[in-house]
Amino acid sequence: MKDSIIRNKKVYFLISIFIFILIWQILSIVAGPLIMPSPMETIKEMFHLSIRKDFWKDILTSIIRGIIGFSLAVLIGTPIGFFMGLREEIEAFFHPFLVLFQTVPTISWIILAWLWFGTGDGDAAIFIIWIIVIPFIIINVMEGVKSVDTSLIEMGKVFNIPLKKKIIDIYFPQILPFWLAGCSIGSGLTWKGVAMAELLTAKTGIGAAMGTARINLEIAQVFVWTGILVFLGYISTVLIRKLEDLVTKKWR
Amino acid sequence: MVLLDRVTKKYNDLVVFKDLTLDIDEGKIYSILGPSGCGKTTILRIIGGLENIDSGRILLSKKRVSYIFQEHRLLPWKNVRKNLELVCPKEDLDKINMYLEMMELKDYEYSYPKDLSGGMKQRISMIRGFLYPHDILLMDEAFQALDLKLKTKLLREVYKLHKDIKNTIIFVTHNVEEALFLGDEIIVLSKKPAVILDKFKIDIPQEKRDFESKEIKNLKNKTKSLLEHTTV
Ligand SMILES: Nc1ncnc2c1ncn2[C@@H]1O[C@H](COP(=O)(O)OP(=O)(O)OP(=O)(O)O)[C@@H](O)[C@H]1O
Ligand SMILES: [Mg+2]
Repeated sequence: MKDSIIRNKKVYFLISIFIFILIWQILSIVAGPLIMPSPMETIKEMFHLSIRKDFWKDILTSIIRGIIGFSLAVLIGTPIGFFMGLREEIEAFFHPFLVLFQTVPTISWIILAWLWFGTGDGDAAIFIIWIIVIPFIIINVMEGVKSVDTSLIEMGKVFNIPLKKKIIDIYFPQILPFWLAGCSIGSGLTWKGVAMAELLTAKTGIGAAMGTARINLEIAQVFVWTGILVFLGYISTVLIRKLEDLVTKKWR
Repeated sequence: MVLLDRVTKKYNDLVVFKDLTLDIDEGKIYSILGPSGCGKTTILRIIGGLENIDSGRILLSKKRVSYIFQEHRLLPWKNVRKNLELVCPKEDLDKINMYLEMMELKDYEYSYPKDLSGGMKQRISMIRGFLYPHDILLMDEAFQALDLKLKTKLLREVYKLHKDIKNTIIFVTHNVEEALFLGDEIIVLSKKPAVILDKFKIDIPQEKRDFESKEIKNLKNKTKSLLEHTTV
């Protein structure tokens, strides 16, 4: 029964991809290859690009920027979210910053980052990713802390469990799913952010390469880069989900 | 020893009890009986330091308190052994196996709570209460989810443990038989706001209590009718 559902799900997944490619193909025939390169032409373009050294260098550059920006957001956002969830005073203190980070349009941050960091080595891109991702980490961790089961906290109190153990054994496992959900959203935004920031503030990386493609009206190249960004986003969410399964499969 | 001195506890406008005094002797077992919702758990929570009081005093004077909660409160992400190790002093680790054996749970040492039945989890939570070093042991409906045979066995084990370590036990239940089985002294509470309706000692040592004897039967009937009247 369960097996057949899983098999069915796979079938639907494949059908959906097939239909997507079909529509793409039809559109490219209708609109013409200059405006809408076909799937085949896009793949060809990818091969062309892939033999160039810059291609891999741009990808690597973006990945490194993405990982640095994302990690900094997780590293700083996690404890802030934790203490915001724990104490209302701390939440009140950080709340305005959180609102600011969330409501200031990304494009404003990009322009500011460009003015502050220049178009040098991608510091601006890292800053942008950091600022896009960190609110989601903070909010999720905070929600996680707030939803911690008080009956278990009381248990820890009665049995005098030391603070370190309390955090590791009682808080952490309950916050983990929230934290991973935040990381998952954040990792998706990372690759969108990296491209956008690089387009406007950097000379290297996927975003910058997309800028060049735009100037040269190379739509197939834009497709290739888009595909790579989609791939990066997909892989990172899958990895995070796998990580969650790995940690929780024994007791869920 | 006075444990609670004229304690008043309110939840917002709801007065659970007013000026309640609980006087206990160390090293004895107290069974607290009372209708559902009268404040039995609240009394234990106050002694366990989990609840603030509105007036009165709590006189614990450095007594260590262990607690077997009404719900099991095990950590789902830790197996049975790890759940117990969490509260167990290093020098007592070998007791874990002893207790698991006693509770007929030896085969489940490495199981996770999700794979245990309600009664099993209840027993693990009991072991945890025993393992944590204490002077006063609070037990809230600890025998709820168990069948009669196991319940009788465990009641005996609790008594044995008590003889061993001479702890004070405050045992909350709404089952009169359980209360009479274990208690040196029985405290009967009214419906809320709870007052102590009756308080009596049972002078027969636990091992010699015969539930067919007239004396115990009389106590049982008396207590039951007391409880019936307060619930109406
Ligand atoms: N956190 C709380 N907030 C508000 N009211 C509460 C709270 N905890 C308990 N109460 C109320 O206080 C009263 C006493 O509750 P308590 O849990 O002590 O009863 P109990 O005697 O243990 O009942 P039972 O035998 O059903 O376990 C009840 O009326 C309950 O609704
Ligand atoms: Mg209760």
